[in-house]
Amino acid sequence: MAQARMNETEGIRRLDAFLASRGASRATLLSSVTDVVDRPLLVVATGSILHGVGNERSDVDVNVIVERAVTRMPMVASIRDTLIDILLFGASEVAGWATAIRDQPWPPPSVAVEEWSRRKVALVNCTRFGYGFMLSAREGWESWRDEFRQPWVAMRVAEWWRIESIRLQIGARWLAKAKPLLSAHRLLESVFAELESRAALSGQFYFGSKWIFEKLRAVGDTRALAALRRVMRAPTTSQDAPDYAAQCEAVLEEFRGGWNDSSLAAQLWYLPGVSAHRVDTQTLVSRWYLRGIELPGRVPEIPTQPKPFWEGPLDAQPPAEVLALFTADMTWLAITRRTP
Amino acid sequence: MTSFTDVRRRVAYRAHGALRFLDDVQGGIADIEGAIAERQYDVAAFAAHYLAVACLSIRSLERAGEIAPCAGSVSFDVFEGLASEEITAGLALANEACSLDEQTAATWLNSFRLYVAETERLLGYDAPLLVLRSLNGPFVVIGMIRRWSALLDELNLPGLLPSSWVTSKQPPA
Repeated sequence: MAQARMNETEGIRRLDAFLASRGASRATLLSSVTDVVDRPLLVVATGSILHGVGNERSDVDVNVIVERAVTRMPMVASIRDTLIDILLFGASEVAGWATAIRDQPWPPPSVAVEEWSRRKVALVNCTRFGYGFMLSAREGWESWRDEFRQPWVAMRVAEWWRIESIRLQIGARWLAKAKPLLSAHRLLESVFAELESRAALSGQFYFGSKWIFEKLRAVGDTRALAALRRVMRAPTTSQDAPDYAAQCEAVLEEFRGGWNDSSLAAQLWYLPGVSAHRVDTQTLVSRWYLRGIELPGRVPEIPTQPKPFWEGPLDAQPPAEVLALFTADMTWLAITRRTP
Repeated sequence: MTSFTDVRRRVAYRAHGALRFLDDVQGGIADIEGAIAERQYDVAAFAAHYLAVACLSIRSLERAGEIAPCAGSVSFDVFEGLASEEITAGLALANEACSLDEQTAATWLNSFRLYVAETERLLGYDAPLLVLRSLNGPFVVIGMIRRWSALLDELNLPGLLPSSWVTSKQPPA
């Protein structure tokens, strides 16, 4: 947390300088929001500059909580020529974030893509609300915001990235034979995720992935920076992919080791738009009837209500027909916590 | 005149490719410019990697790529249907950003801008797409939705409304 607070002081200084260079101030920034949003409950300036890693071309984002339900359609305001991205949240939507994230470790026993997205949005914005600069608050919303300045936030962010790293690594291994180049690129993303987890534990839990180098530099993690530079030059052909994949696996081994958690499982769901049709001895599986594959024999039935159709230990390879569905991008891969 | 044999694929490419360009690519060039201006070459390399992959995924949509990739999908194939030379060209250009310095950055940035602009030109619009990161940004997407929604519906293809714009009222799991 000390690192986060240090970033915060530096971030406020950079925000003031950023605004001053445009003839503006924090008060101007707040007015640009209240001109377009009526009676906000909480207004927090955020973005990479506030979190100590941005540059002159970075945006200033403002997260705003209002009483009514809202959509995620972006709103934009401006201070002279500088754009301010405003992201609205409804009070009822965010009221339970703290308890839901703090008290519920990730992952749960079942993770549909909607659950994954909701958790990610909540984590991204918890850190933004918690460590952005509070421009205004009323009706006790500053207390709600203070909860996201507690040590559990960094733990939950690190946990998210760790599980993401495992998910990407397992998926990459399943893709390795059929799509080696794609597999290698997913392994690079697994390395990014693992180092994000490491940066979060050192106090750098702002969610902008493009800043990973700056985050590691800010905490003086020279070992992680060196590892990242070793794999940053991604392969450009399938022939180069296996050697590169081995390098990424070595980095993951160095920083994480295996997964060491038998309570985790891999889980597959059909993606939206997938349909399957039996034709003689084969099954034609399509997504949106725009692309498809034919498989010998049968595939697991597509449930009428969304639910996983396959689950196994992390080190288990799915059966051939299930693996074929995965490599053809007909499925969503989740990592879940097995129920005892 | 442009002729093609698969109307659904063509519409998917032009409509969803344009939205993906607005959402994933357009602002990324400004990120790279900002990083280079402050000599954050590692940041530029990271952004270049993601932008090159996004451009390839848009180009792949013309041939065999997925029209509506799920957020966070590990198996989404950004290279689907592309010739190996095209993949190599895009990725190699991004890899050049791993060794940028004050002498090389400007020339490389120019090459990368051209690559991104060519990705946009291939989408077949009469003029460059309007800028999403602007005061009129939300209306740019709404205009795109209006332009394509009837045809996408008629062809039973997914609509253009970004999932990130949909209301989310429930607390996270």
